Amino acid sequence: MKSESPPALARWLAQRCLSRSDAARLLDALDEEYAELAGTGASSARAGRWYWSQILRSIPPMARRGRITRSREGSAAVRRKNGAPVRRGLLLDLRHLVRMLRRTPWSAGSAVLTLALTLGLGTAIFAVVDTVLLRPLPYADPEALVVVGPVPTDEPEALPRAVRLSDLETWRDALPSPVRLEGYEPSNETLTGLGAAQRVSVTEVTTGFFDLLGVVPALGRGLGPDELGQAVVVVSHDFWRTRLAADPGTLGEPIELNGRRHTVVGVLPQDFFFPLNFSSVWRPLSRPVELEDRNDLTVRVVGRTPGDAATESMLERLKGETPQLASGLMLRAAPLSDIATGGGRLILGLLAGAATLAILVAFSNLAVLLIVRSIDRGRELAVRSALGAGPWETLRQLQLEALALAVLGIAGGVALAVRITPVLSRFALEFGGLSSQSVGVSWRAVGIVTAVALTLAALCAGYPALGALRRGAKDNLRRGTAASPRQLSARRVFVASQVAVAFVLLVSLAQVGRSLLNVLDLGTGFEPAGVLKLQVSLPPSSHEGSEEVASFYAEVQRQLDARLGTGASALVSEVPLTGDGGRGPVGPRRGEATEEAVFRSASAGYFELMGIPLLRGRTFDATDLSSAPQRVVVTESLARRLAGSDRIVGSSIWLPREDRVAEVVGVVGDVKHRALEEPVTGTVYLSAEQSPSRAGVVVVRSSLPEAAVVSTVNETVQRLDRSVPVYRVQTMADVVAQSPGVAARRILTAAFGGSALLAVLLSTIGLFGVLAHDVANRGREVAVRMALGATPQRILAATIRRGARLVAIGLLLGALGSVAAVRGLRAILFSTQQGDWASASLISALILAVAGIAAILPVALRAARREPSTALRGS
Amino acid sequence: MGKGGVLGSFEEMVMLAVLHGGTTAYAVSIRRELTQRMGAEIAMGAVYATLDRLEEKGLVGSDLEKPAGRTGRPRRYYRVLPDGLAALDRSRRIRNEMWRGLAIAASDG
Repeated sequence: MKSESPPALARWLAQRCLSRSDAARLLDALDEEYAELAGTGASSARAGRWYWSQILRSIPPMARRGRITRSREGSAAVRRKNGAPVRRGLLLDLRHLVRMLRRTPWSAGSAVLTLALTLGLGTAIFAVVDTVLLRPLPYADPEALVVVGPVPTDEPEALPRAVRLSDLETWRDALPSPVRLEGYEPSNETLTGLGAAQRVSVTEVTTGFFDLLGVVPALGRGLGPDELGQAVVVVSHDFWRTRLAADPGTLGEPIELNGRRHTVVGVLPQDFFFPLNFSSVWRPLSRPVELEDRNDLTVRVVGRTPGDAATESMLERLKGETPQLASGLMLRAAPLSDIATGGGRLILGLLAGAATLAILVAFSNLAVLLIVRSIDRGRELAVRSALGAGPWETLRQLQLEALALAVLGIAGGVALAVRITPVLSRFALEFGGLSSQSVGVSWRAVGIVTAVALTLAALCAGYPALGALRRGAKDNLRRGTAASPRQLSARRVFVASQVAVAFVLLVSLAQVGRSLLNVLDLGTGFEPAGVLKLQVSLPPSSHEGSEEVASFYAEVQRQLDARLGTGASALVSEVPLTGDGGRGPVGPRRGEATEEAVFRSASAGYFELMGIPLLRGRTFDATDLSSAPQRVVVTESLARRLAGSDRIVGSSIWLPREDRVAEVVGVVGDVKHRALEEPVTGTVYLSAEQSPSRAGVVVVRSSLPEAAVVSTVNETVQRLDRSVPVYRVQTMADVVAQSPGVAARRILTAAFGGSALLAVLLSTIGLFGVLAHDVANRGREVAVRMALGATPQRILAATIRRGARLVAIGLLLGALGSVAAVRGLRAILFSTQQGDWASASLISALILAVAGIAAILPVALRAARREPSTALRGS
Repeated sequence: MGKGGVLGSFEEMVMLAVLHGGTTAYAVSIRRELTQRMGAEIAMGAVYATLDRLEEKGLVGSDLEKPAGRTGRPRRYYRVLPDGLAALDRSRRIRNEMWRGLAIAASDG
């Protein structure tokens, strides 16, 4: 006889599922046949298969048979017959489980729903935040990248400014090898030859720029070391997809920028972005011919250093190499990743806090529901242990139940997360004005929540069981299903604190949302509502001299005044929040360029139309012609820097780029050029008549419908010159919405809103679950009361009172908590008015009260409608 | 007795298998008898469950005996009790009565 042994797992399964005696005789018989089968020369695989099939087909009839016997003869008889304590197998556990869930569907359903919602909604929020806001920079070792340049000594956290190309070259020569520096300079150019003419953002870079970032083009090649000044470009993946039809054959093909032919040599990877400049086209820096010009060419500097110490010593070294650095300026090396996240880090922390609170509500919900269920099982536990069930079997049963709830909830949650994450992220991205990108389920978040939920399930189920076992059977039987006063009050504290957390989150949401509004209202420096912008660009071939450009735009302005009304339209070279290209040096006296400012040329009426406040002096008017002396309007921050605040009007400033001195005629409010949250950069407004720009933006504030405005502007421009494109029509509100800080803030608001919604839903579910359970367990009490003459109305009122008390306590706790939360938020977010807290609290309290009613009412009605006899029988 | 006093067909088969086994019918031999004669692999669990039920109904009896010349656990030997024989007989009569007058080309008896 072979000594082959039958499959152990199959044996184990039979032992789990059957009573000990049944398992013993079944396995005896099967082992005997198995041995014979193996002895006849059957392969062990075949014998194994036979064994498995026997086990799987034998368990159901024997288990069924065992159950019938037991129920007919009673447990005592079973014990006698089997000669062993009642042993409930896995199969019976599962059966029992289904029965339990069916008996208390409300609290079980609440627990499952809690987990499903948390996993579904909570992880979707995490996924959006993860993908959109925590997106790491797509470079090799991004932490080693820094932006280097001068900043004002009183603003050490400012974005480092551009330096002269010659400075960069000196710096490079002076630095030891591991430290590398490269330069870039953003600009805008007109793309022609690919459909309608378009302005595109072009960044000129030194040729080692992509090497420095560690970015390899997805298609084609990068820029070669000897290509400085060459007409080759690397384009963004998005540009390649939308403008070049994603055709790999476009490599080597020409595109036309500002009328000059460029060859496309590479396409950047899809995930590539440069946080300081979202350009479509990247080109080698133009090669400056004359040394004079070299000093005028400025670049922004990014560098890669091996560590903080190296960065420090690099700065020391560079200081020594830059003796001409103006007083009031110092060199700074800012980590690129810090600049990319900006002020977002703190807010992200807040958001993580909010989502964590919501998930804590979920876990406390789950814990309360499971503990409540287990406590109420005390009587049953007592009966079981009296009948001989060991402590471990009881514990196993309880844990199995809790785990089953957890697993059901997790399954539902994952299904929900898979469905909801793409929808929610699309919504969040659209709300944030970001281009759509696919957001996958955050499996990390799902994993964490799942692990905690399972642990919690095991713990919560075990804790009351151990208590019940310690107390002993007699005590349990006497006490029946009533929970101890301490347990009851613990349950109430849990539910009340959930309401409190939801309250705090709602009030905080109101604060975060208001800060978004504050940023939108106050941060722009102009009034975006009702303003439409239309881009116009004169091709270089026509209107050659600046006189001609000026007269073209003057004519456009004149005709628009006639058709739309005087003051309804104005011209500017670039509107705010579309980029901070066109920077240049500026100084209080000739030869002393201490400041950097953004240069714009604006027509008369521009400031009034945009709602940019005039602070001193005047804005441009009809007298600022090209024949008049050069006049400029500066913004307040620049005025303060250049000359102390009020003395600047009437004085002169030096514009090194144009190598002339201009008279300041007025001071206006600052606007943000790139993002609302960035520090203010001063602006020099040149008169559109005196320093016309080929590319212009027509801004219109009109009560006419958008389409009518667009066609009017189009007709006007086309009538003057058919080859001039009118494009990129946008409301200024959209421009604001799509600027970087707003998008992030909107997503934060959406995510915060999601967290608060989750918390409200969960606390409602928790309240409902606990109350429903309460009522079910007080069935006897209610029945006795009714039998003694209590009317259904009184029962209803009593149940509502009980629920309302919990909500009230929660609101009180929440109000206290929210005072602290608001104080904390106020320090971090933009300041909010005093009245905010009260109104936000009132609204939050109302929302939670409504949610409370939604939770309490169905339970109370059920309690009141119950027949006393049913209730008594049920208990 | 299941189904209004009529033996279930599997119950009948099991009892017949016990009879075939003579004095040494035990679970393994009964299952083997059934498997061979019915031409299908019968589950041991089904045999045990049926034997238990028949024993409960008083149609089958069993004794735990230590088999001669064999070490190990004692075996439970089954035998058909008089009530069981009567039930089998009744079952066959009913069946024959039901078949009378029907002409189906059945190859088995």
